[in-house]
Amino acid sequence: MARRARRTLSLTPLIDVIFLLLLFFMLTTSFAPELELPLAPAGLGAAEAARPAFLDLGPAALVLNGASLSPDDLPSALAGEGAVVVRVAPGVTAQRLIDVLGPLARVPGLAVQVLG
Amino acid sequence: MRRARKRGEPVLPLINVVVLLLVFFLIAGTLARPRPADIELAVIDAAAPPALQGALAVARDGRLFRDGAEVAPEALSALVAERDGAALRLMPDRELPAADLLALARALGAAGAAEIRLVGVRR
Repeated sequence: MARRARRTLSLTPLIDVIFLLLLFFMLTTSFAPELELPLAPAGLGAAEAARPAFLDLGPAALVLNGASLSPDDLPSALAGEGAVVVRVAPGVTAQRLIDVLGPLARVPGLAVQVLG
Repeated sequence: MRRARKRGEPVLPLINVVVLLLVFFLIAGTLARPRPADIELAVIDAAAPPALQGALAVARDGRLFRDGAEVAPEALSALVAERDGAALRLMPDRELPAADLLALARALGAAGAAEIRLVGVRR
């Protein structure tokens, strides 16, 4: 009995199992490929600002307070504003909306409301 | 020389490293959740924060899916009640009309969802 206990444990099966588990988790793991943005539809009781900026979002056009611009220019154009209202025209897809909400989310202190 | 080779490579450092890797992937990983195959997620720029789990997928025809199973529109208020004030996440197909998405968001808000967030994939 004492002799048996002194024999070293066979490690190969252990390593086999651990390698299999490691391979499984390496292949199934995803490192947060999904991101998120806030969406605030207008008219849900959020405080309405006195003079919000007005952003008109069309399938191709993007007009801020009457001036056309590109989504990349939004953070600089809206810096210092307290609130913006986005009006979404018919024909706009979810991807297009997210392309505009992304830059808007980067403006510190900006309240975004989206009109259907 | 021969004697040294017969004793074999030391396996303990190898096992140490492998177990460390295993523990890392066990803790850092999440199993990929099933998503309806016909939903193509919208792309978000990398500046946005990572999304938490449990988003409600919205197909381009407006059907809703949760964990791969379709959710009836009547079940939405129960879903909101279940979240109990926590943020609700929507994962829209990129071709879904934004008006439909906003209508859904308004319906969820009216049902009591305090905060709605949009989920997309990293560019």
